[in-house]
Amino acid sequence: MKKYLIFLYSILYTGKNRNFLRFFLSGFLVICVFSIGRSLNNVILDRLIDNIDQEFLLTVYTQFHSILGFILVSIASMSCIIYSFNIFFKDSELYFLFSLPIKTSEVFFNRFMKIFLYSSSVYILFSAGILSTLHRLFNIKANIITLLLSYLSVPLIYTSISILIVFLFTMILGSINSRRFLISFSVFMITVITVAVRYMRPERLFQMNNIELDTYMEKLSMPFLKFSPGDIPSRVMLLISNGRSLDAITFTACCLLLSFILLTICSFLYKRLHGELSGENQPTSSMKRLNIKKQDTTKTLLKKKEITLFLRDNFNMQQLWLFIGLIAVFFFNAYYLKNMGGKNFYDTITFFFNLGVILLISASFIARFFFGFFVKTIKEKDFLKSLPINIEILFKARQELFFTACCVFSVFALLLLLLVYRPELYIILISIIDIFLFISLYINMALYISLRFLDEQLDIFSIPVLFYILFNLFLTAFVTLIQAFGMIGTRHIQNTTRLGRIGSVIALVILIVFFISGIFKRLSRRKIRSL
Amino acid sequence: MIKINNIEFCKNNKIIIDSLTHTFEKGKINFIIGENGVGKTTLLNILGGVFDSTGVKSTDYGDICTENHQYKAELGFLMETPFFYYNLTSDEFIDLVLSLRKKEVSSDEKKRWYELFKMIDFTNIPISSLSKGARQKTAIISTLIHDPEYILMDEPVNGLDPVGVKILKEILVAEKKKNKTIIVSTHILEIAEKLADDVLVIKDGKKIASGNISDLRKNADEELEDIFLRLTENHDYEKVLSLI
Repeated sequence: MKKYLIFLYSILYTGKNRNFLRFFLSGFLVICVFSIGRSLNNVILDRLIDNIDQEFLLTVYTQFHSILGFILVSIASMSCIIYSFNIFFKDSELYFLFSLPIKTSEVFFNRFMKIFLYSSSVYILFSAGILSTLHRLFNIKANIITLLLSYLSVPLIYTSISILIVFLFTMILGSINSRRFLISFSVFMITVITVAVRYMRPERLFQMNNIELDTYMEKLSMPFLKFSPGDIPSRVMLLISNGRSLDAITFTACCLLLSFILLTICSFLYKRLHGELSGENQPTSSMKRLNIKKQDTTKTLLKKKEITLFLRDNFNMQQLWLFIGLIAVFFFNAYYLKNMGGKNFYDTITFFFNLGVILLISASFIARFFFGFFVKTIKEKDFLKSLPINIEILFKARQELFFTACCVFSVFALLLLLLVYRPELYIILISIIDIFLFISLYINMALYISLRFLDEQLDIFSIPVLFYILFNLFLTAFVTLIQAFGMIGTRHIQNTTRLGRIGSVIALVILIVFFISGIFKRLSRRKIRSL
Repeated sequence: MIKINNIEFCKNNKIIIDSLTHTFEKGKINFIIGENGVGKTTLLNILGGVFDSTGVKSTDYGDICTENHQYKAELGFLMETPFFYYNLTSDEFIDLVLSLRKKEVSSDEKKRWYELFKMIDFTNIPISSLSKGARQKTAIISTLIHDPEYILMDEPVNGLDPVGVKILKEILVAEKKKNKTIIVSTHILEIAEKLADDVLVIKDGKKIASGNISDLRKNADEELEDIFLRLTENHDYEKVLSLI
């Protein structure tokens, strides 16, 4: 007991107060995921009860459940694939573990647990939310253990399949390019999955009568859904509700057995692979050389350096690929929402909402890369200070690079959005102003936070970065809503001067963003001077 | 020549360098020796213009401070843990540092340096893939390639193989003959004993002795290690030995 208490204590206590805050924040996140799972399930059940007969309820519910499981499992598997490569082959902890008298199979188990905890946590929490509302449909009390085990078998299976995919690809492709290939593959799969789920249009279930539903359910029974591990609990639920408890137990046991067989294969493959894959083996011949010219100014040199480092960093590239995948999914959704039909009223709101999303993607881009850069800044700062250059140029070069990158992305995204929504000219102009204003705000703020916490590890879960993201989320939502409703207001009130109202909306937004941006800019300058 | 007069440096309310006055002569190899954490690296960072301190630090190019770019252009500073852009190759890194210093070096001269340190086969490999020794050699080349007037080196032999150490020693002697100001900080007293023209011993940020090694000797047999232990008053040394 004492051992476990010490273990728990070591997780919670690391000697710094901010880690407690991080712990409470993650606790809050856990509660949120659980509540989302539970509420979503309640909403689905209520809507189903209102719209369809009891005899269809069970089938429809399980179909919904399997679609949800399919989405969760797909996303978790993709992240699992990316994470596994690092954990099994690139983690520095591996060198430490292999220097100790530990068997390779034990190292494999240790690595597997790390990935399992990482990839299964959200699925299990979400499922727990669903499970907690199941009593409304099924009599699960007698079969709760079977159902719990079926839920547990899902992450076990998808984690082991993901690891197996990574190992097989690594065996076929070798260590060098497999990661990039896997990443591209994952992003492609995420896009395909989203498109497939959208194609099924599950929300139409709420608007159908029972005859249409029959046809729809046939359409829903797509073959790939049947092969998803996310479907396991749904099948177990169906078996239980039909009174076939023994079949349910056998099915769950088979799933668990399958996951253990897969893990044994993975463990065997790892013994063969781990020795061959240590160390960094980057190709050198294919790299484009850093192009330094005599006439380059210090700022240009630093910019060129940043771009080269960015392009050569595999992790950055992996993030960029994911980012591109996200954009593809986002625009598919924008197009889909538009086709659902609606009035100008909804169009304006969704346009501004989507603009807000574009800007928030920019903010998260900045958070990931900007703070990532600044983690290494302390040593770089000292190095640059030993050279005959002004340290301020480094920060300016980075700011300009981020500003350009984000603006290029946002303007490109805006163009795509315009193709979907085709709003009026003044809305386009406001959007462009928004983009430039917001991005400079995000960058000034990120710069200030990174300078303020220069001595700390600013990873994505650190308090300053979380604060940055939350603050931006709040501000962007607030300002885009003002705009959306401001625009609708101007369109519907005909007696007042339209231009005047539009002007006041623009002025308000500019004032808010410009004012906050200015504060952070001044604070950053002061910080740079004191470095 | 670098003249420091009464310099002080504090960090987190702790005095790291305490009223230090000394002259690092031109055409000499000046060694800074001291125990761990006495302020050697901080002193070199001050002399390299990385940290600002109180007191006078005069050179031929004006006072040393973070904004004295004229001095920094003539400086080669090898840090204790050299900084690298790991995704650049050694050659790119050296080119970048040269460009940031606004200095130019012919390709023959670059090749000469690579050959000197047996780096010719590693110049197009990312620094992240190089061994510790090859990284240290890259850092040394980037420090010396622009023919600086002032050379500061903090633990320069870290990670170097015996051949690399020998070459570095020869280079330092050659640079001394060119009448440059060379300051080296090290824990390896054998190297200091062979190369040092002048030694500065510091303890708790204060100067406790300085001068030629022969001046610091009490008797002819005394080695630098014994001098160091005597000067730093390591009375408990015998007690520590008994624990082995």
